[in-house]
Amino acid sequence: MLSIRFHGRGGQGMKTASRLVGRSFFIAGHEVQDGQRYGAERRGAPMTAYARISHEAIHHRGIVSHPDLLVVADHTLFAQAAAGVMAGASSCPILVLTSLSLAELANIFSHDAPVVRVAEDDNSRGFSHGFGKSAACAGAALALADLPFDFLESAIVLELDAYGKSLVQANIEIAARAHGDAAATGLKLRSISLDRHWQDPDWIDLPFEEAGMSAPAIHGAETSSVVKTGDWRIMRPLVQAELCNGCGLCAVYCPDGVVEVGPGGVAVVDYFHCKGCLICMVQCPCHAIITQPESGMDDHA
Amino acid sequence: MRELMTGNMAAAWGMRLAEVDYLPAFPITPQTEIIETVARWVADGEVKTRMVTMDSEHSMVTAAGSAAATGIRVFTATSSQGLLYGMEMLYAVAGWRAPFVLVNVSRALSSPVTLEPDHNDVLAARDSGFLQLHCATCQEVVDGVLLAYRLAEDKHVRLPVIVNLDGYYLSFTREPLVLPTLEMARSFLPSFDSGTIRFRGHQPLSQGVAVLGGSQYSYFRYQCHLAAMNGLDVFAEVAAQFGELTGRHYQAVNAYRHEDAEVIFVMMGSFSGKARVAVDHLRKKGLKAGLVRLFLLRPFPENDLVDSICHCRGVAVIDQNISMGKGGVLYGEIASALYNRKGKPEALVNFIGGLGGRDITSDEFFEMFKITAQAAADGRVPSPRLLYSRDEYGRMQGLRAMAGAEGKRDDR
Repeated sequence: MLSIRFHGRGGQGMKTASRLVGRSFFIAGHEVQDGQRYGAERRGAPMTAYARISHEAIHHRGIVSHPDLLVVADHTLFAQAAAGVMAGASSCPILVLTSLSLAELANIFSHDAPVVRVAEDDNSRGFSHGFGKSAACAGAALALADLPFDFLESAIVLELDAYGKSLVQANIEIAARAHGDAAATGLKLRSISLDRHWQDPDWIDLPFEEAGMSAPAIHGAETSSVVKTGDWRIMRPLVQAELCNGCGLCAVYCPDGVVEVGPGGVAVVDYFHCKGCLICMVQCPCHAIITQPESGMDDHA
Repeated sequence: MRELMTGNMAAAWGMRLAEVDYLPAFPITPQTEIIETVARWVADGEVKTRMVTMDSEHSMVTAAGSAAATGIRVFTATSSQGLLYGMEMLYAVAGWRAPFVLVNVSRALSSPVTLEPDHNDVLAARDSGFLQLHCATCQEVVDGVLLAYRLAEDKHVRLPVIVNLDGYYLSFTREPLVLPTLEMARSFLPSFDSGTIRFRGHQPLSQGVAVLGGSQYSYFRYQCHLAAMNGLDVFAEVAAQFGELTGRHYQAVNAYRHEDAEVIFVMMGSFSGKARVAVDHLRKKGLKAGLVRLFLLRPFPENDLVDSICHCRGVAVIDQNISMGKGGVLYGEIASALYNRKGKPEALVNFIGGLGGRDITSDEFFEMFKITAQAAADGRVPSPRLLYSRDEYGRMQGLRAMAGAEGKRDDR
């Protein structure tokens, strides 16, 4: 069995990537399973998806704890412990969709197994073209898994049908390029044996602790201020000062309370916490808020 | 033809193949995709079902029961807190003897609020009068909905049925399955012959009336119990018919490599797939492990269950639920089934695992095997064991410190 785990942020298309991989192998006649795990908040929040591929019926379920391949759509996730990108993945190859070079990636994380870079296409950025990322990741993953591109082309036609012919075609082109590039690396995936040494799970007898400690409560406001939810942003709202009339509707509608009208009578966004939902942009009566893709997350807040 | 679809999509297809007349709906994660799918079909005219969005699950279950009490075919679906919000009416509509199918997409209960599955939601409905099917694959979801209608509508039963699938592990997981054709579904499940269930303007009828006095109450409640018990034979009969039609043979109790097993894992739902993989690994190491899974929980298939586990030395009951102040719910059910049997297993050990979707690893199945085999050998059965590692506790302490709760004691 081959197990592939995908990491991305809600909105980056990793659910679709897992489905493209699952569908491609399904069309090729394999047993497959694909699925996702995410929390209550979606766009921009770290999420994982997975695909399992086998010649026999698959009975394993849920999260892939020891992947044979890791696919990461956003290199900023490596720095977030909560995203758990490297969990159980110390010896498997990693595909990273990024605009950074391999040398720059090596500054972010170190890894003993091969790291393959999937060049981020200009078309694959942002909301409206989010599927480009999934096609690129699926293309590269399938090349490493040694599946011919034809199957992915059929999968893209089936999975993205609802988005219209031109988007399907654009995705096929992105996927073909990523498939070709990854195939050129000559790297081939191996299924890591599940028949590992049997380890003691190290269970403990959970001690009783008083409710002051053991009830699910968060004390003080610190946690919400120190967590950088700005990392979730895929698109950044930009206030054009010359168009803003300072009405403050953006601040009223912001679900996270991170927009306020500053002393100059112009709306100011707290980018450390803004999740990039863009409700402010939709509500602004002056159309003073525009968006800009977050290509890297290192240059702000 | 094989299709690739999620458990939620399979549930929607079950409803579609059953050609349901009425569907009251209220969305809740992880059930929402079922409602969205049906809504699209209704909007596109692909199904003729009348779909109504309700203000709450309480109203939704009331509407489902009321509609079913007029003799039409009804489907609804919920999860977790939604099932609990409708709980008053679950008991009420079962008592009306209104047959319909409710899909529950299991999600652990508050508090704390979470999204991933365990079985405390559906087990809270255990004594409601609804029969319960617990699915382990997406194929079982679509087939289970059709089986459930036959069970519910059978005149020897006439009770509503819950079809349970685990959130995420089935609801959002795509895998290959075979959809029954519409012809097959119609042949297995013809349009609802409602018999005495009817409601007409010119024929006044009071359903679900009040009684004063325990004697009459006892009669009605015990009739529900007898009807539920009839579900055992009816299930066997309809499952056999379904098997002839589709080649997929369902049993109330599913046993895997159990015949010569020394230790058998007993569980419900999709996590049993993990157990199956572990059983194969244990067998490769020469350890005789087996797996028994309950597909039907209500009525409780006591004889089939006992027959499948009675010969082994130790049984490990893995409860994906917890009854506060007792332990696993399933454990008590299995213990009561075995108690009066001669030659029963030496040890019955309870493990609590998979709460809130926590994984159960292969290592943990090996450990459960070892502990259960040891208990069978020395007769010392340990207390219920929560599957929880030192590492997890360490991470919890870290989170607690971040939440400012570490060391907060009530010294007053």
